[in-house]
Amino acid sequence: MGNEIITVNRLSKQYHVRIITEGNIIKRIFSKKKYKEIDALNDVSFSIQEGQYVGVIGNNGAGKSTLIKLLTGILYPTAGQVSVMGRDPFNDRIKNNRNIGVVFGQKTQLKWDLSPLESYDLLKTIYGIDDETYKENIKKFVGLFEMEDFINNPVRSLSLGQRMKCEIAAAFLHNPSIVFLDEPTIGLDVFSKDSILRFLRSIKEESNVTLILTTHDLEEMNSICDRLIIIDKGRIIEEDTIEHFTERFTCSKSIVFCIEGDIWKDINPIDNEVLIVDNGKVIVSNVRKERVNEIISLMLANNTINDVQIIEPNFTEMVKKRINEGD
Amino acid sequence: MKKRLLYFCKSFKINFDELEIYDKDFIFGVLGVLVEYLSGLLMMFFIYDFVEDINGWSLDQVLFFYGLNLVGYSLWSCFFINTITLPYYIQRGEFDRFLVRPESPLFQIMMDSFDDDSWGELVTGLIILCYSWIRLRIPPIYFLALPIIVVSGCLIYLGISIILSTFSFFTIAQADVANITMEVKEFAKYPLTIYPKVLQIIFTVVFPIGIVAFIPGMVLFRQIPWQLLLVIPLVAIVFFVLSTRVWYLGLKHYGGTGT
Repeated sequence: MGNEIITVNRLSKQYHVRIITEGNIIKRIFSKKKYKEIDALNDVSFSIQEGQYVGVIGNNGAGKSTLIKLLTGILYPTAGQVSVMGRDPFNDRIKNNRNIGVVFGQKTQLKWDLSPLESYDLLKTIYGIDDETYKENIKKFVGLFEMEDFINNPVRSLSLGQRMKCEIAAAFLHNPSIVFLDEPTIGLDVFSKDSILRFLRSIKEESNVTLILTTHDLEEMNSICDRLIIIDKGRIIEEDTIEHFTERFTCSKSIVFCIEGDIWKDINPIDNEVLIVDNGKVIVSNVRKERVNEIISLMLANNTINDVQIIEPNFTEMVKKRINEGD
Repeated sequence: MKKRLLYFCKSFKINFDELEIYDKDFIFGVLGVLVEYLSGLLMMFFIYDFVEDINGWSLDQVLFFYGLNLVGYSLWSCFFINTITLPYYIQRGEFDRFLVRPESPLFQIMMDSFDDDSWGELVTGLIILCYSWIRLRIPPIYFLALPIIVVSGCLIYLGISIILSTFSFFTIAQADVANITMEVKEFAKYPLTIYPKVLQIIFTVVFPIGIVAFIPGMVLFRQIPWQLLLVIPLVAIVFFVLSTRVWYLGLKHYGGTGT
């Protein structure tokens, strides 16, 4: 940790979009065409440290994919700079590509009629992977993903989950320093998702790979990422470590007590705390973290408690709240 | 270079393995091509039944032009025809995957798929070339120049397809401009002199495919100096390099606009 591996400085990307005008086709062809500029990304700056797993979140059309395309050098910025390992990923593409692995969740990298193993062999040549590394990685990935059963079947016959495992393995084959996963778990069942998350965790333990992940499954992101970046309408509205972000937003917890008998006393709500008494249950919500201990001690001292439950707002709720807050 | 060769060999092998999966498709494809050419050739024999020569060229000489051009074309069509698939990749968003690998995206596209049906064209071209070669009693010494001429022809077709496919970086909708490459072949198979001046200029200056069969023909049948044969590989290389430059300019435009 510590080295900046990706630096993004005041990055903007505009798309030039044709406005479809009214009128019949002949009129449309010969009339002056109207265009408008759409800001896909607007003055974005951040940096990513080596070895971090970074989750990029945002609604559809917020600019996530554009950001990934700029970071991988597929597009070049309208303004601002991207530096990946000290290089410009667009102008120094071939060199940069040796160090990165990319998976676009909705498009395949593998050849349809070939087995994953045959596609890997082709990638071995394209990336110039030496025999030893190649064998080692194949063995490791086949083990982690349990791919023995389908690694020799043509890609067209694989299920979505199997295919995605193969795609992700392909992105890690040449031991890249940075891997970009654009919605890798879209449309997958829970077991395939788990398997992919396990894989990513295990890679994290044994290597110093930096991972940039976009997903709509926020709990999944919460479980493997160190940091998060929230993009909304082309701007970064939040950039923080997951830990710190969670801390900031879990300031409000709820505590539920199940009480034997019907007597309770000694809780006076302070600040925004809300107290609800309902059929043998006492619920205190909007509790600040520092107050949790105090409230529980007080309740335990004065009542017979059957059960206590502390409810943290889940990660999805926090992110939703953050996006609604806006800039 | 070594890496590219290995890449080419592997792609070739993969393509062959795919043939096994679609073997009937392959056989009928090749047969279809053969029948197509056979009918074209029969037509030519039929015409020469009525006339002595066309524009001063005998049947055997025309067949020589035809065969030489077809061999160069079929080499392109066997191995590099995928360049014209660029618009489809762009439209389906599959093009981006070529941009994140440490290899020229243009070369990757060429290697992504080969065309098996073109084996039929290669065979047809070679048979016609051999037939006319024997009938015209062309000195065997010219065999030495043959590979260079044929490869030059392939390079020029490749250059044409690369330049034409560049259009798809600028148009979002899929335009089949690159398919014109295949039509160019139809013109290039006859001696240049039978065409009007405008076409002659187009096929020597703009798309220099006209010279590939024409210069050897002139050397053999019109006694121009053989040194002119050297023009062919020179033009081919320059044209090919220029075409890749144009392609990369298009790629830059694509990076600026995105899809």
